[in-house]
Amino acid sequence: MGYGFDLDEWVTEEELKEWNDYMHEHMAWPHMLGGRHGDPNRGEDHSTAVSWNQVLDYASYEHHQPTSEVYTASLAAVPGKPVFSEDRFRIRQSERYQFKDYTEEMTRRGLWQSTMTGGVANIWGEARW
Amino acid sequence: MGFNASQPYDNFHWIKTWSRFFKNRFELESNPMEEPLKGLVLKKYHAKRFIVYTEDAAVVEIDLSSMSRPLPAIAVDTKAPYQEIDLGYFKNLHQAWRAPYASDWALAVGYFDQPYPDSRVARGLFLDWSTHQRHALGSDNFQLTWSDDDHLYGAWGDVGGFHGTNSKGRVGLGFARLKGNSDSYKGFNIWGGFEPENQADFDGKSWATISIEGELFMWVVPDHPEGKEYRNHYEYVELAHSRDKGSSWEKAPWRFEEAEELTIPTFLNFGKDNAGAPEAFGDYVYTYFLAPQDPSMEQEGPNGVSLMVHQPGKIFLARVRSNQLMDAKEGYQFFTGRDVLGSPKWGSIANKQPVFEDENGVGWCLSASYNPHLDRIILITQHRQTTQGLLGVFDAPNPWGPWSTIEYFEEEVPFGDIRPGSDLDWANNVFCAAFPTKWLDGETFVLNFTGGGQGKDNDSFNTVEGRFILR
Repeated sequence: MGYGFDLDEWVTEEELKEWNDYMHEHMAWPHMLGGRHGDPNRGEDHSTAVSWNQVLDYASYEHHQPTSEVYTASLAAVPGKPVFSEDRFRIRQSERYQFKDYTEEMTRRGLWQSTMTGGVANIWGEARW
Repeated sequence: MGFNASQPYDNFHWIKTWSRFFKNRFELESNPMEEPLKGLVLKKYHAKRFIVYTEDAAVVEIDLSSMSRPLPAIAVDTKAPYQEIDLGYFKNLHQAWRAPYASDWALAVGYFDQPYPDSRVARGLFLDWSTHQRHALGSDNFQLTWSDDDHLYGAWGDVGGFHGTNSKGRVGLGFARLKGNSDSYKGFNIWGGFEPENQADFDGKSWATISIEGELFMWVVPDHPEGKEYRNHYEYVELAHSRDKGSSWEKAPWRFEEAEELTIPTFLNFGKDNAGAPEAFGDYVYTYFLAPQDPSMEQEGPNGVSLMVHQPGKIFLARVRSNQLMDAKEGYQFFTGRDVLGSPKWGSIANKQPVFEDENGVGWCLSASYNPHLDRIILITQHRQTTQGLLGVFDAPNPWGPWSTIEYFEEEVPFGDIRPGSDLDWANNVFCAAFPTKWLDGETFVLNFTGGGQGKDNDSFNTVEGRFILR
């Protein structure tokens, strides 16, 4: 379960940990909790989100069109934690979002690359309408 | 902005191909290779399984030069509806596979078809082969129970038991007592064998002994069924009872029959005198029965198939009140599936359902014990081929599952293939192994095993100490 997106814009790490602890104390069943940081968008450097993700159950990032090298770097950034790439990868024709939109072929390759690098979760979507 | 729901994909089969390929292939502790030759490679180190994925490729390279034997391989075109191309066996070399055309190819190399996912409690067995002991050469089986006098008891098959030979004390079925600790035990022939305390008075084989309130019970299959001059362990199962620690035995007047899809069983053993079962399991004694591949198959005779791994493999589970073992066959309730809450349902033989299945096969014998440290039932049986060391070690929180896999030995490295510290004669022929519950201590154990050495090597009583490699 994710707290929300781009939390680093309005939540501190201390508040995030407090939320995580509170939820685990009160939830009736085990549940993995995360809260997406706004980095790194592009590139392999995940260092700005490391301490953020260390207080959560899984590490979560905003990636735009991640390559297999980016997936690999995200898994290495916080060793031992599952990774969720939590920006929806939409199949869409949008000038505004072409820097992060997908084609169906990119979706297929993304599935394979994110699996073959060790298993990164993603959000996929077909949004042509 | 608003929420924009996703629409169907044009090439939905791409996603299905990805999903089907990774079913049973994406595993715990599979790691990307740091320097793949080309593309991406996931490698399961312990089990020697590889997945290779390359894009826009007409040639796929893989380096198997560190393997000791060839491995089976299949290829899948990730752009096409799911179809496996059988590539046969890849040699243990650095090699290149030429694809029929350029595409995004995925290859699976090695054995991926273990029946249940990796265990969450243990990722394998560490065996200390410097502790390997061997006794009773020529006698095999030896599934043991821990009785109230602190000794282990169990049956052997053929030859003379402890200190016996083929010409000294040979019996078809013998019964022994093991006194002492795992590093200094001694075996004694109670019933049959060389210089026995008592003479055996029936033949057969057994992989099932249990102690209840100081009395011993043993499932026995016949050597030569009534009216037959040839061996057929499959034909029926009888229950024998001893009130004097194995010195004499009395059989129940009823049988389970192969025609009922029940053959060669084992008891689920808990602690000393079968104490220590979790309350949730109730006051029952549990028995696992193998399902014969064909309910009319025979071991020998005109249509004999020998002792074999039954494929596809199915195991049934029965329970009976602990004070009613000998009373009546009808007192045995069989696992018939689960209700909507996942609880087991119990019913008649006719309605039984498998509690364990493996397409690669099970049997012809098995063992089951409870490990209190792991709080898991541990079941051991063979797969694919008999007497090749192809053992599977499975665990479950309940006698009825759900099962997961601790070890699944394959041809690449069968059970005991590498034994640092042991110089005893060896062939990869182990077919039976069990954990005597007396010798469980935390995560450590003693495993006893036996093989098909025809009077040599593992055709004997063997023990080796070890520990579960915990997660």
